[in-house]
Amino acid sequence: MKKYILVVSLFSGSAIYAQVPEDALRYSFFPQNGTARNQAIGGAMGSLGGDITAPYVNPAGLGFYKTKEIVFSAGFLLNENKTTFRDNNSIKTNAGFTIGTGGLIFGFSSTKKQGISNAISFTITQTANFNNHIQYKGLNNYSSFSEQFAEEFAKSGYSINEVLSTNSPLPFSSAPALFTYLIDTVKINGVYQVKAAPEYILDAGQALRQEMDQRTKGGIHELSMSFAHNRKDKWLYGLSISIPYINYSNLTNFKESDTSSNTSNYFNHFEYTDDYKTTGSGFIARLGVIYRPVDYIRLGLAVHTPTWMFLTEKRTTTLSTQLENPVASFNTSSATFTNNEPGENKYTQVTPMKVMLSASYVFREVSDVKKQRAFITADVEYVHYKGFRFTNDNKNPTANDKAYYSALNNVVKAEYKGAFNYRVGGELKFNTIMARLGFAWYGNPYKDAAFKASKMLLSGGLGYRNKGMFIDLTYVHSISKDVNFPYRLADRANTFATVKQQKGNVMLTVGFKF
Amino acid sequence: MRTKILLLALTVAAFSSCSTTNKNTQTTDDVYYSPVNHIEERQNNARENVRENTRPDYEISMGIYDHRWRDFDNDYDYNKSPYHYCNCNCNNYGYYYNPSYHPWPVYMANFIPANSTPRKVNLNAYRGFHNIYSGDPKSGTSINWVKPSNAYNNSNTNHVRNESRQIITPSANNNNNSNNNNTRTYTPSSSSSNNSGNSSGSNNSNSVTRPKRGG
Repeated sequence: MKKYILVVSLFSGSAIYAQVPEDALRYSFFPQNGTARNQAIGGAMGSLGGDITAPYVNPAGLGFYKTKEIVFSAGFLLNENKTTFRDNNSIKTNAGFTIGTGGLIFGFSSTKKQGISNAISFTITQTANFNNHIQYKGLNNYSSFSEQFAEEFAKSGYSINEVLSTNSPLPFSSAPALFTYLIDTVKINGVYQVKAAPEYILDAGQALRQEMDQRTKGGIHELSMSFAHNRKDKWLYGLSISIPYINYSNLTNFKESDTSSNTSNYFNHFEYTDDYKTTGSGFIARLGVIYRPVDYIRLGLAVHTPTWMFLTEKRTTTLSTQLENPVASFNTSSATFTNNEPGENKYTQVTPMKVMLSASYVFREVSDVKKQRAFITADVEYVHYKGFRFTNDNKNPTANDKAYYSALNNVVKAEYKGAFNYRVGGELKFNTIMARLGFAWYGNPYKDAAFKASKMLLSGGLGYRNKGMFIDLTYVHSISKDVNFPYRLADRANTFATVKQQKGNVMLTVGFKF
Repeated sequence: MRTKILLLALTVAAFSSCSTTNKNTQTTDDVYYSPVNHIEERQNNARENVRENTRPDYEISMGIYDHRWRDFDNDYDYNKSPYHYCNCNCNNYGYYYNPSYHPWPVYMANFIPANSTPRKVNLNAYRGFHNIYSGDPKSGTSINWVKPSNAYNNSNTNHVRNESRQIITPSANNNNNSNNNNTRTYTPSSSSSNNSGNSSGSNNSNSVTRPKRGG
């Protein structure tokens, strides 16, 4: 079945169907990772080549290798997230280790044909790092987190009895909310309506205190095998096949409490946790060509196919509610409504394809290492974010689940757009020491002008090459903007937090010729 | 993490001591210029030739220890299958080929499938979503949602909570749907609905009983 889906999607422009629209950006809106040398020049590698990062950008760049080397890269990052939520500012920091690109490269020249050489590589890299911690809080006199459950349950067509079952159709949201009386049915003007307990506070013109804490961990790692062919240093062709592995965990905690001194207004506070882990693997191919019209100039073109990922998500939510008038406390877990096991959902996601154009100018492409002087290089990349697709892989999906995935893909198409990314960098070489600078800009993937999202990277680094080895050290400072919705309501204006992230990343690469 | 760092350090140390070829020279920089290594290529070819010339001898020596090596070249002789251990004229396929043979009893566990509900969000809450999404999962009846007219509510100044939720309006061409309104009316599709605000679940065997609400 998966093969069928893959073949169909390959030739029909990814006609397959996840989860929530924000997942699309998590798995596609992140900067290029690589070796310390590559990171120091902004991640640009579309035409430069000669670095082990090439298989993940333009595999044709591998064709410049006629030697063999082994490379290791590792780094340390420090995040600082400044959030603004309903005019209230918060700051949260976290730190963690990361890995860059490493592996083996074998370059070999043909003895029969002059000027012909080939190279193969076996590499691993971390393409995305999800290690992050966001926290914000604020007062809200307009809407409640719990209203999403009221809305979902009211429009679902299910009865209370159907939702409160050991295999519930709404086990992570409405079922815990109904069980703990965070939402309930009340008779208003002779008609039963679904109402959330915090709405009593809002209806009285008072505000709720909302607190959000989201911790994410994991990353995407890619194992790659690549081949490149070099024809007289004029035309270089490359192909890489990679197996990405996703390991993502999310622990979200949301608290909402009554700010009034009234102890008989039906609601005191609730705390909801959403704990899920996504794992899975897939594949991606990258193809590229580099053309050297004259010495010193390199032009590159690379295409990254969509990444097909086959994922499994395990999820558990918990809800604790304290009510007033009468005072009562209730706790439950979604496991009560999923046969006492975590929910397990399988799906396929297809990340958008990328196309890249690049140019480099290399001063003194000469064999004498002491006479090599400098290079500058730049990439322009287009990412078709609206091309992200999800499809259900569960054995017996319900009609509603199928409809959901189909609608989800329509939302992705409507919410996101294609965006351009720019990377530029250069190096100065002083015999055995090298100095580098780089810059990168990743454009806004949202269609809605209200959302300001971008990533800007400033980088600098030093390198040392001598006696058959090399060592590179780089610092990358990135400034990212994005938005974070604590919840979504269809029948009210939504509220969101703006997130400004500053990230410092130190990367070290060590390599040996053999 | 310490183990990883130690492993990395050991590997780096090993390679730094082994890379004798380039130890006394400057490191080649493949970004600028990568030197051709013909000597290495010729050595490889020489090794390949040696391997090809000696292959038959290798097979003979292996065949002395394992009869399956002697039969590898005869692909069409059934009786000489490398997995066929019958030396006489027998028709016994052995338990390798018996699909219903189990050397021990097989017990089937009472398997309960996991709940596979996706992590969902109300897709009608996304401004850019113009299409219709089925609002009643039980009946499959579609609800014509109209996207919020504008705006995000990101501050607490001058906002009056509007119970009628006027930011969306019902679609004019779908008036026959009972859910086609912007209130959160409790209208379950099934006849087994429980309208009580103080309900405590159903009597079904797989139902979950709500605790009593009274304090």
